[in-house]
Amino acid sequence: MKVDQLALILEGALLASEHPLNIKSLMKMFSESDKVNEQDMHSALQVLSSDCKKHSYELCETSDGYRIQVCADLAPYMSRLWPERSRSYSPQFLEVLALIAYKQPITRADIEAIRGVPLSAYIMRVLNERKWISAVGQADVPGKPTLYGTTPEFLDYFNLPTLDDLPPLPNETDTKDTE
Amino acid sequence: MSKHLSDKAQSPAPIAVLHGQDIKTLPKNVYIPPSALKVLVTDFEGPLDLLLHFVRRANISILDLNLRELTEQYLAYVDMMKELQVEIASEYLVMAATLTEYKSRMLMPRQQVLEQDEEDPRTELARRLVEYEQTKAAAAVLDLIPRMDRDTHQAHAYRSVPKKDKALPEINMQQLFLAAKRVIKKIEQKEFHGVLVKRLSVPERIEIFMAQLRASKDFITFNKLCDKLNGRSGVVVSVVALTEMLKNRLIEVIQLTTYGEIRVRARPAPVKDTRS
Repeated sequence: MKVDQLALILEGALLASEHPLNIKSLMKMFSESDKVNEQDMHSALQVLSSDCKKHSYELCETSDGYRIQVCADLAPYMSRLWPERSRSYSPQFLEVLALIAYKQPITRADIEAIRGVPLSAYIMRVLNERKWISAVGQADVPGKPTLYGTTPEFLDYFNLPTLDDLPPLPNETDTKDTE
Repeated sequence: MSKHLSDKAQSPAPIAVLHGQDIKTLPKNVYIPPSALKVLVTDFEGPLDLLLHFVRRANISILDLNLRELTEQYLAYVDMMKELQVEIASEYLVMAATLTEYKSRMLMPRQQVLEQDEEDPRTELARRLVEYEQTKAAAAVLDLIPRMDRDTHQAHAYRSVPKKDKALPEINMQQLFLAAKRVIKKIEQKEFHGVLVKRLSVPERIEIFMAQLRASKDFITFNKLCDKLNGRSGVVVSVVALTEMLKNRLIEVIQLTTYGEIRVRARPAPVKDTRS
């Protein structure tokens, strides 16, 4: 099968799907007679990715697989159509999420110690409801508090293939000089 | 608003210009509704955020912070909140106590501090402030990452699935007919129809049988003879009639085998004559 045709098939599948698809599920479309291997897949995805540049959408690799999404630079226009979708989060909410994302696994007590304020139950509930965080274990200290970490859904939502792709934090000296 | 108040203390710049004249002190009868201050308190995420604000305003590095000055500013802020009757979250009071403790430790002779191998309270506070500042930075960074629904949207093409259940409306039609049929049947069941009781007479039946038997002269099976036109009661009347005839020795009844055919014939007249 030609790469161009394969790229078209993959594009169709990703557009038809409501969720990201990984290589394994994309492979289900082909029988042995199609003679498609994973390497063909990757080169076709590359072709697809460069083909997307002519359009309003882009190919994005998330932790769950591949997804075709509308480019971020068009967001100002899109958000006018669905203002309810682009909700913003409070500074407290983002601080808690940032601590869990960057310092995972982390306990509630750790979060409270760093922020110097009690952790609101509401924030934890919203984070759980959005399935962005989950209990990943128990800390080996008295009371065995729950350790929290982020989920693949969190990575999907923030367009991150892996946790290592979290943007680096500005280091100490930088933060001191800003403002 | 707090920023406003504390700025006034630091800089001698006029706080307002009224009728071309600089006003350097706040009028004493200015009324600040306590509800306005509530907004102010929530402006800071907590005591660390407030301290960070003081450090930043003084434009010094966290590592060079002046603990005495910082503590005084902080306590002044908490006092102001108390004065304005704003409810102070407990964590602000905890921090006030911590800062006071740090300050008093700083006042102790340095020699002793070193001997006890204690950490410089400034280091401890600086560590916490740096850590919190980093958390704030991390939150800001996280907020900038293009996220779904705000910055990117899952692209989705309409996928037309050939519908196999196109026959569904037809089935519905049939079901409709069947349903209509059922309804009609129900209505029919509700119609009244009179039942007439047909009076059957045994003597009448006997006469009919006698006529039949005499005409054939041979055996007639019970099956053939029996009145089948009047249903169950017809059969009952036939049996009663035959029994009556048998009693009066008008007929002969024979059965060749068990459960076999029952045959009936008229008794010859002479026998009847001798009897009577």
